[in-house]
Amino acid sequence: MELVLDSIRKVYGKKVALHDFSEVFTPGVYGLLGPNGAGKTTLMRVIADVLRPTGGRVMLNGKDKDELDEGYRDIVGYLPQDLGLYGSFTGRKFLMYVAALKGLRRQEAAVKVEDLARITNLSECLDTHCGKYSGGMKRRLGIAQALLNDPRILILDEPTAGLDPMERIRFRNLISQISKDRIVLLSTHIVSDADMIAKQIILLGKGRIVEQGTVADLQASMQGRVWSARLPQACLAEISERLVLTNVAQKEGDVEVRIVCERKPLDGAVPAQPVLEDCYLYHFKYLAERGEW
Amino acid sequence: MDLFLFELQKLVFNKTTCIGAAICLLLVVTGGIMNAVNLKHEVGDYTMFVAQLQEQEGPIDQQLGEQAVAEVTRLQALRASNPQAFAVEDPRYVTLQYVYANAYNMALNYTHGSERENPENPYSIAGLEQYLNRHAGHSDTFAYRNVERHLAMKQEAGVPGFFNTLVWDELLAFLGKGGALILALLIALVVSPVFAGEATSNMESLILSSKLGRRKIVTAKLLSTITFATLLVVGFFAVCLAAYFLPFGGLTGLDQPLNSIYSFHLSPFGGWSLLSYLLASVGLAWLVCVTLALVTAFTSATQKSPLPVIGITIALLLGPAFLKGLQSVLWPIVDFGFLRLLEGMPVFAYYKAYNLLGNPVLYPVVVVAVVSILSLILTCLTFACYRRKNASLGA
Repeated sequence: MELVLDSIRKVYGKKVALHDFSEVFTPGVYGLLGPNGAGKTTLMRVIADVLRPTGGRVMLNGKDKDELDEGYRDIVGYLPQDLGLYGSFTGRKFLMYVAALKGLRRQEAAVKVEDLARITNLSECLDTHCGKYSGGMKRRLGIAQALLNDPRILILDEPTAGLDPMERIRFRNLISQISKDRIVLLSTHIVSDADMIAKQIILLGKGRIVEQGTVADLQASMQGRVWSARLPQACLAEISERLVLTNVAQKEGDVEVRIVCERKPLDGAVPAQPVLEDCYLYHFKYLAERGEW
Repeated sequence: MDLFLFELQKLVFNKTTCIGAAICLLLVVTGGIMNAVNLKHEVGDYTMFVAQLQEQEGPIDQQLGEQAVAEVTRLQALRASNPQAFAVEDPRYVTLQYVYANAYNMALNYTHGSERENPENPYSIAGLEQYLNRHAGHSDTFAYRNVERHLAMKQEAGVPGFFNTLVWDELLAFLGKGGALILALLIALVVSPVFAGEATSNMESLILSSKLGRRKIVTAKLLSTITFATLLVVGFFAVCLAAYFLPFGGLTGLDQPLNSIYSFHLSPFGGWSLLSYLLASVGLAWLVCVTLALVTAFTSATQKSPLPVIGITIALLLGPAFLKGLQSVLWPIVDFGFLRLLEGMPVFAYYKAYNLLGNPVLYPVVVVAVVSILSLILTCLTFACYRRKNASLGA
């Protein structure tokens, strides 16, 4: 299976949300990272067939999305960023409603609902009204509805927002398990979520791909750009104004800082092992502040 | 089918619908009870009054009619000059004289018209006949054919008689005024979120991304809207009949002629029984409510919040009433205003026909045609609108 985005462009009035975005997706998890307004949600909505692009094409296995129409949407599972629920519906009724929207037969849907409720840890509150759900429960219900039609393309916009660490880990493992033979697009602000399971990371900024590659590639690209230094507490304010700090930790009266910089930023700074978060901050803070993209 | 049932549940079992329906029920039941209290206050023992009235039911007796008119004149003078003396008059007798005099005047107006009748726009049998005699040489014109048809229908309707219409008068007056407005507002309120509410509740993205979210969901939503309008109209009329007639022991007078009701004494459909009129007005109300619901649904499909939808629907409902002064120019808007059509009475109470290739086509027939065509257009537009829809960008 191959999902091709060919020069996707989306314009809102005078604002260009996506600049000729092109990418080829094959089965596996893709982590979409970027600051607010980078175009992540717009991109996901275009792929989910919720938003018509101003230009460009979305092709599945060589066929245009618009040509496939219902056939395309049939294999898409989408969890919007801010999914609303009907307060008067129970969780079960909501899932049955979405199943009907997805064209599932009632009996098949009923089995699927039970199954997904168990996977998303919602079995006990399936007959509670959605209006009484906590933020985390709503998110889990959102994940369950996205999986109802056993989608080949799963689009998850901020899926772990509002989930506690246990639920996040559970969810991450679930995505990892099901990603073997499907394309999973995961947009998140929680870099570690993508770090752990994504086969490919796409850094998106101002509607363009800023950087992309495997986690290892991106970390390798940061070699020599991440530093560690131990400073007196008094220097911290001045340093944090001048440099991009990715971490500050108290160490026996001093502070140990982690710095993203093209060259050695301070005397006594030593190279540190890069992580994905460093890469994110390098592009969206370090380079952005210097106007380099 | 599943989607339709879910959409119907969303429409019917929600707070807005429940509160709206409860208010509606309260208003109708209050209206019915108030009517019963007033009538019983006027005539005392209602059963005895009906028994007295039934003795005189049927075609108008001219002698009795003249006596009743004279009595009413006397009673009015007494009421003005000596209220205390008027107060001791038997209320049943007074009411009976008033209603008989009224029926007599209706028969006179039907047959001979009044001084205010315009000879070029007649409504009475005599006036219509005179018009045809005056324009005998123009029998091939629309105006002549129109009056000819008017006369034929009125003659077929027959002279209004005297029947007990006290409860029907009140019920039809309520249905023609407050009732129509209640129905229309309830539809605007309940149907306005049918599409726009999905954007407000952030469900639109999910719906549009689903397999059936661009075509079958529209069918399901429109069908549920039509079903809701149907349930509402049937329920509303049933509740109104119950509220107005139960205090008097049950539904009566269904076989009486329509023109025994004062508002319909000049109706070309005056020969219909009240049951026939009731069925026709329920049918018309259903058609108009369905169209109004479709207008609201279409507006809802173009908006991202139910509030502007309610505003637009209310403007569509009340707007034509403000344009009555411009009827000569804006007659399509005034003649086919939803509220006017829902009132029922303006459609059936008087003769009105449109010139279609020189032939008079009756107002109710044109109404049904126009409203049906409008419904079809709105359905197609809603499909087209939703198919091209982009979800609102929440982030």
